[in-house]
Amino acid sequence: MKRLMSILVITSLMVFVVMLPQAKAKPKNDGNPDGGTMNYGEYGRAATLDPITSNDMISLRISELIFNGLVGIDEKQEIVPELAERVETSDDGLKYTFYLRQDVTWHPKEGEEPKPFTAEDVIFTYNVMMHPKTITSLKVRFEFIESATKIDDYTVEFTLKRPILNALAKFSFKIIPKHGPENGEFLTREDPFVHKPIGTGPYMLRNITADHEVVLVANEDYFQGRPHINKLIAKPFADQNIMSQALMFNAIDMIVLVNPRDIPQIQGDKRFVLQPYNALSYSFFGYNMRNPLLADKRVRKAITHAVNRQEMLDSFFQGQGTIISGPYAPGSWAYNLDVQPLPYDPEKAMELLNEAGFTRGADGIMEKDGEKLSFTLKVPIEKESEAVKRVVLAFKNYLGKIGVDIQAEFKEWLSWKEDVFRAHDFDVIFASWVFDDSADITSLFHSSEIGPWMNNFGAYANPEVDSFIVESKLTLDHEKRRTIYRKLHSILADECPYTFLWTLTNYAAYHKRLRHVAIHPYKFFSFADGWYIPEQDQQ
Amino acid sequence: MHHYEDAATVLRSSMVSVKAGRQSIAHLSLGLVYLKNAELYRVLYRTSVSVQLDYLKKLAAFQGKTRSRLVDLYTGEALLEDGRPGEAARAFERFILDKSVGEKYREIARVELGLSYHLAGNGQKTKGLWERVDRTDLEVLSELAAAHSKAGLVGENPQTMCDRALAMAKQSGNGVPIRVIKNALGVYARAGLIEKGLDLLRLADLKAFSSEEVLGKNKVLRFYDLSLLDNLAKLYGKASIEYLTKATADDRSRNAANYYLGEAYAILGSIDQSAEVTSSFISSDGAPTQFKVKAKARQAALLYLQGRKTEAMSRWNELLQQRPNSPDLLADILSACGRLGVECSEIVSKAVALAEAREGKRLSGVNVALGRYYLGKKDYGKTISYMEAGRNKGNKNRIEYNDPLMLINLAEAYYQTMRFSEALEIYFEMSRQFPAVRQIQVAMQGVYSMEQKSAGDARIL
Repeated sequence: MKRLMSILVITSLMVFVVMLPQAKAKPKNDGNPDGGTMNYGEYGRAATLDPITSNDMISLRISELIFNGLVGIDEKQEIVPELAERVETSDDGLKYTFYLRQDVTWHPKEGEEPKPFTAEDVIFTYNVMMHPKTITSLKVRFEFIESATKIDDYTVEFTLKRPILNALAKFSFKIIPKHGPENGEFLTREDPFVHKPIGTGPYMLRNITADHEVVLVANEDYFQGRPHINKLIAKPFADQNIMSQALMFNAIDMIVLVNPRDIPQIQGDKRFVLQPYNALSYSFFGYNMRNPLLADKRVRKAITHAVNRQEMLDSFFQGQGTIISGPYAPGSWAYNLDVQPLPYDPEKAMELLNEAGFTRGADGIMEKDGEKLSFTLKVPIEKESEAVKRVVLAFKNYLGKIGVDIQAEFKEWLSWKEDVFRAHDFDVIFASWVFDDSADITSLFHSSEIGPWMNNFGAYANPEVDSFIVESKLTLDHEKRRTIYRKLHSILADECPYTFLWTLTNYAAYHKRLRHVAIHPYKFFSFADGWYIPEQDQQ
Repeated sequence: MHHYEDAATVLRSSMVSVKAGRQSIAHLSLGLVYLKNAELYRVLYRTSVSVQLDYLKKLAAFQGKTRSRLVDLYTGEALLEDGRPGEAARAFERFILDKSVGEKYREIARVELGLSYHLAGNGQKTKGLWERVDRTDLEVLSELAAAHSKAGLVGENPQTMCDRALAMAKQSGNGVPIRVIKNALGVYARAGLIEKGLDLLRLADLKAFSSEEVLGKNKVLRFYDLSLLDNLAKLYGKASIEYLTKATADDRSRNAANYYLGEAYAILGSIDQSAEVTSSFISSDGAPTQFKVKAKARQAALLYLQGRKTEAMSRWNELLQQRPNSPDLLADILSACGRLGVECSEIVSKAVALAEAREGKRLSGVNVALGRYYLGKKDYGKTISYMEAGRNKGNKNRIEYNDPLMLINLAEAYYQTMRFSEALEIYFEMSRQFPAVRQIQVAMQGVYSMEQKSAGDARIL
């Protein structure tokens, strides 16, 4: 009787709602031809090619081609099935049961037969992601999950600690194979898997050439139908100007991010299409709060006041962007429209430095107790376009006027990432963030995100910010979350963990021989399996 | 530059110092600037109605202790602006029943309920409601003035009521609430008190919210006055007619003034007057041929609005036969078709062929017109594709490089296809010159925050 009661209670609690339409494996019978190669220009090399350890857009674009999530999000912001053919949600919003496709196989390892995708892989991915030794910035996104349980080979149940907003969307994280990484418990950047990934996606990694080109080939057995284009090749360019020239001279078919300076030239050429995307990005100077001098808010604020951002934007980017005031891009729903950027005001900057106890030394550099305001600025070399060089030089000059010395250092991309995210060996960096639509800045500013390969590289810690971030995650009220985000914007604009600079015009450019091109505004290649090249243009 | 607000301010303030011989040119310039502003605010108003309704519907759907109380009031207002007085009345009735909201808001709702009844043809209820309204609050008083003005009822003088509300605001020393401003603008525009309305604008912070609702420590909602944009469109429209009419007094500016006057009347919905002025322009000597052709295209659109649809179509075809390769003419006709919802596949084919065959800046107008045509058909994918082709991408959101109307149309297409960030970027830039777009920004942000389904990713670019 007691058991029967439990079953009844459970049944009453677990009224399932079917959320997704049934998915079916099918060939791509859309009438468009298969074949051809697409070369696309990247502005750097991917640090890793797996979806867990990577934290840059170059890697994201590639992993979008190689891997799938349980669910995906289509162009209309609808959640659509991927590896799960359907999902059921309990009425209380605490249990998500995913019924997996049974027709999915992993890309074959060399000399091996392809292995089937099963629930084991989902559980493995979750466990690896959350393992303390796994190097990833993803953990914070999944702290709301209490447990992941394999029900059978093709059914997985996630139990949540509490209901959250947009929970289903979180299950779009990419699944990796249990037989992929060498280490069966956690994933680091030393594991060969991060450079030789195996996925379920429309494209498979063939090889990485000596020139660091990433060659991907069509997955003939892709469960959503074979992608049309035979081969995609990611070509890294150290210089964005050369990348535009490569497009103009047909050496590549697509540029993922056009140098703003080259936009008019490409727009004037009818062979190409320019498409805006990635509106949610911005550039910044970020500070390392481990340096006690930069831990003083007055110093960071002084630097921000000393920099004429509008002048830099107008002079070096032809005004092709917008000055921002805080941690969100102006296209974001979280942007606080009441907060204005701190004005260019060198006098105010000097006042703040004086207030913080600094005075000019004999060499003109501000100092306090023998400590000089002299900082290293590290800039990734892939960003070494003319405009960026000028920004760096201008930054140095502006700060020189208030007695702050800047030693600029251009570093190779991977080495820059090592310095910034692992060793934390820097004072100031110049970089850009890009966000998906969720406007989640947890990984950037929450104190729990301080550590090797975490996104809070500057070790910013503020209990008020932490508490607002936590509260925003607990609420089920969109408007409350929006209010909290506005407050976070306001606080961070005042605290200056970064000098928030600008958001630039982001366009992808591609040759018109590429057809049916839909670009995901954040992940870029989400719909690339439907792109094609007409037969006459495949040579 | 498309800095209409700045241009109007500078021109108006320097009008007194303009020499007599140059006044007609100054009038023409000011009339033209107000015309552009009127056109812009008219489109902004329509956009705002649509976005606000989406946002308020989502807000109203939230259930819980911190559900907004004011949402029903503003939903009623939005429905009223959307031409749905019956539904608006139900929202106001619901709102009035909630005794937990401030009495001022319930009084405002009573005024608007009365207007809803009146517009729904149930005017006998209106008088009783309005008679009982407490007029001691300046916002309520101004709302009553606006309602009287809109209803066109005789008896009370809306201007006097607005003047009194403004005097009360001045006396209080707390500034003029935006609700009072928007009501006074509407009343003055309808009464033809253009200068008074324009003077009032100088006091206004057009990005101000109408009310703020605090629902606990970390939930704050802001509501905006939708009709502010409509009243601005009306005021600027009437101002353009006033100044363009003044400019017709001088031989040197008459033709140009008449050309734009025809457009201004059309924008304000005075079709017959627009047709009359446009005909007079076409038959005048000395008007440039290029503008006469444009006026003829407009004339056909006016015929269409007057119900002479076949005649309109044949006029357009005739014009295109005379100038088959004129991008400007094609753009004008296509834009009119888009605005009027006319099916004109042959003209579209010609425009597409022209846009694909040729290059150059003049083609940008054809692409934008194609975009507008498809926007009228709610084909947002094609709207985006054509408008992007016509957009200056180097400075994609800057009104100095792109027609603001095109940007608003493009933003609408992006909004409808849920690419909210692209739309919000446009409005962010536009807000520098047109702060009144804040109401669209805030509502759009609200819809975006509820619609987005992203996982929470941030990466180094």
